[in-house]
Amino acid sequence: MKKILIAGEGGQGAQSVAEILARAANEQGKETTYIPNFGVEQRGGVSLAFLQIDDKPIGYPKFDQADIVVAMCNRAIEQIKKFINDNTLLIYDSSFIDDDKIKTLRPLVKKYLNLPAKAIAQKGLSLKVANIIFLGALSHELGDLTAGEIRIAMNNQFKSHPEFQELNEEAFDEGLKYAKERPDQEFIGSKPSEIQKIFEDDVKSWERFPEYCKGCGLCIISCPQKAITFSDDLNFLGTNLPEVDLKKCLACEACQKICPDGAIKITKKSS
Amino acid sequence: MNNLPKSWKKETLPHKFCPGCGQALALKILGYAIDELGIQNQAVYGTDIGCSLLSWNMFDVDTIQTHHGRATPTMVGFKHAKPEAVAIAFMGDGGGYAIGAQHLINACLRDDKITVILINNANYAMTGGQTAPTTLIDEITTTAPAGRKIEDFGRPIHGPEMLKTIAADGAYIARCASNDFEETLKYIKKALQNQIDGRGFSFVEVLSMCPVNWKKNAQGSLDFIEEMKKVYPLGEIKVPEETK
Amino acid sequence: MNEAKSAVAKSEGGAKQLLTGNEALVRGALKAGATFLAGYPITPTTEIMKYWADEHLKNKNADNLVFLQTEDEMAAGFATIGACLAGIKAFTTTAGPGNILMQDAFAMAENLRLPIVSFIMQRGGPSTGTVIYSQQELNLTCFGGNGEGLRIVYSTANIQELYDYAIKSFNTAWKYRFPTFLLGDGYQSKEFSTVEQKEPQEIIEPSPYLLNPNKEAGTYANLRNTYNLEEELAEVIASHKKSFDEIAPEVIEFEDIHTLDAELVIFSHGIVSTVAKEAQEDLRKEGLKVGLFRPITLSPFPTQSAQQVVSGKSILIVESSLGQFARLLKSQISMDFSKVKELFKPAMGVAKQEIIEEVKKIIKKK
Repeated sequence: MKKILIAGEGGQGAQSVAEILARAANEQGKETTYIPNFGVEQRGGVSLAFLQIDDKPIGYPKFDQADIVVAMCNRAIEQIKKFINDNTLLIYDSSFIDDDKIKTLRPLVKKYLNLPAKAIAQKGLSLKVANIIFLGALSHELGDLTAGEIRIAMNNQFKSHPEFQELNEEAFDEGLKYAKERPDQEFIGSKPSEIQKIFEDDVKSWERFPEYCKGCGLCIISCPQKAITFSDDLNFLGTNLPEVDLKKCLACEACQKICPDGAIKITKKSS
Repeated sequence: MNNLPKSWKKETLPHKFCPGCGQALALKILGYAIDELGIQNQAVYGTDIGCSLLSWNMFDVDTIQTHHGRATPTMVGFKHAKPEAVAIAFMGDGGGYAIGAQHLINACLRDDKITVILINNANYAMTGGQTAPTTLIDEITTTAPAGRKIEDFGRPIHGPEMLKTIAADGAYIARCASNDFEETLKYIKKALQNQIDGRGFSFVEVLSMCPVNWKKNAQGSLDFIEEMKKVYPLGEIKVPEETK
Repeated sequence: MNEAKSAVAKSEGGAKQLLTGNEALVRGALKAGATFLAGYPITPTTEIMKYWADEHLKNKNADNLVFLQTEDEMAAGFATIGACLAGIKAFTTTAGPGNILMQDAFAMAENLRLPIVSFIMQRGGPSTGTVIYSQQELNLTCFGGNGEGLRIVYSTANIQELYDYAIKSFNTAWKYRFPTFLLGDGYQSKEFSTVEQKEPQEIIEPSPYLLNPNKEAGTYANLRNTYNLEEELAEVIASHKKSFDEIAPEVIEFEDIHTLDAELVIFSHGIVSTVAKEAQEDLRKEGLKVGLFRPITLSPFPTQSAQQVVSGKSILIVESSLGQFARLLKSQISMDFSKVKELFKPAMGVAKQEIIEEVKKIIKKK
């Protein structure tokens, strides 16, 4: 019997991971239930998935103590605390979840897997498959299910997008390898590094707000000078922040106007 | 102009709308309109159900989140009780053209002096992308997997044009697109001014991007807005005589 | 008839006046300081809108009365909510199928504890039923919507009470901030009789929820009824329930008539309790020890007082419904069901003789 709680931002793919595992379990003749728990918004906001796998039929789809908890984002940390006991394994994104938040978990958590999923994803894969890295890691921890079966279920899940199969498989293997080798042993989170927020010259400043930006890209396509591109820096949702080439920027404010989140601020300096 | 309207509540940012959402953009423009007209302390803001409810704590403006289709009658009641308030009813295509259609039509018919802002994103977004009265012909949704067909769902509704036929002389009715910043700001300000001046009912439909349910990236979502403009022409559909 | 005419001529202030029930409701509402009615015409409440429209016309400039005939009952309910949010004593009125539609608004009022007042004048159901009378909207009025029934419901018995409890409904609503209902019926609506229009002892002042002039500068009210997490909503419900239980002792009302030495107690509410009272008096005259218990507030229910009455006694429950009141009663107090008999007359008036015969059957069997 395994009770697995997966917690992420809406849109990070927590539910997909749970569904893939449920299907894989079913294929192997296991009993399984999976139930999502989330708020109303389509994106962002905490998304929880309750997954159970057992040999016997399962009654109630929710549970109050988990065997494995997967935490993909900062906002999940408060939600998962009450599900953790001495035997719970916590798998968390150490490259994205702040160390401040991990500190609050230290008294509770006895077993953990430090998995820098976003960082692994950004190295030649794609941020979009960070959740698949977690899937790979989970496949190592779920003794009853074989990684092979889970991989098949994963490819079935995304069969309408065969162009992503290779990427998914790579991400899966990365996660699996990480869980086997466990290169990072410390129970720490990410320490926010200083990222450049203001880009300025003598006549203008272009300021970006990582705490508001959602990485939609409207600013990039709205800039008449094509002065804006995606950077490697991440916003609060874990997607890419834009950055500006000041030499091209005319401070026309098109990007500031089109941003639905108010994440860009142009200031013209008085000369 | 600042990157955020003064009338937006900073403490509740980042807001809960999806990346690239045209509705959030329209709400930002509404915030600027409230700032420029100086009505932050005279306005009441009523939201409907659907993605609009995510704006319940977006504004430093007294707000009530109501039931589906009922933002209009709630604001109508408030305005009748307190005529000096600036009552804003904010909703989507379901709240205005489906479950709340009779309230919208009758508010216009009675010439209730409220301002209705309706987000047209051609689907029911919050519940995952079902067909809306505004869904385009052949547009694929979860309840029209082969695309919207006239024989199943009727024709896409032209709300502002429909309201024009029953509107009183003092009513103001317009349609814009949220990625046209200047035009949208102008129309929303005119609509609110129409109420402030006591002329009559005012209504602005705002075509808005919905990249998540349209399954498009930023460029794709703007391209789809251009498609929508061909079906839903932009402009001021009705302007009170005295303001012409 | 001449007497009646002169009574009308003398009227003004507290004197007795011949009124219909619907008119008594309007007079009570005005006396309570109500200034807003939104509604949709439905029998038997329609005259309430007519009288209010007349008052509105007379007082258009003086009293700022607002009258809104809406396109349907959903709009009426939500417009009433809108007015209430503006700090106005607002009410609505409906019956039958209109009551069903209004549950949408009532559920929101429950979630936000909004002090809207509603006059429900029951008619035959289900569906269009009759336009006449019943006691079949107890379930809807007490427990309609998708909530837990944290509402205050007064069940009136006669048209004097329509006037008195119309006033009380506004005071209760604005003092305790729960949606408050006056549950009457079609007989009471149409009844024509004398009403004494007493001056109320107190009038509770309303206050706005939105655009409150007394709020701290720079603060804004953001009200909602949607929550993201189960825990958030559960906390809200727990808080409402706690408040409801705290105010219950101040709100509960009932009539207890000769139950102390009774061997049989009749339980009834609303207008049925008036005919039950006549039956009870006749039975006592014949030497039979019969009492009557009538809850006036159906919610909060006078549980303790009702419980004290029942032990060792036979019970007869009488109502113009197929057991809506009986079910409420049984959920509130423990009874020996072998001693409970029911007289159900759904959507019909109850005759005194029917009650007397039932009581005698029960007492004879003992």
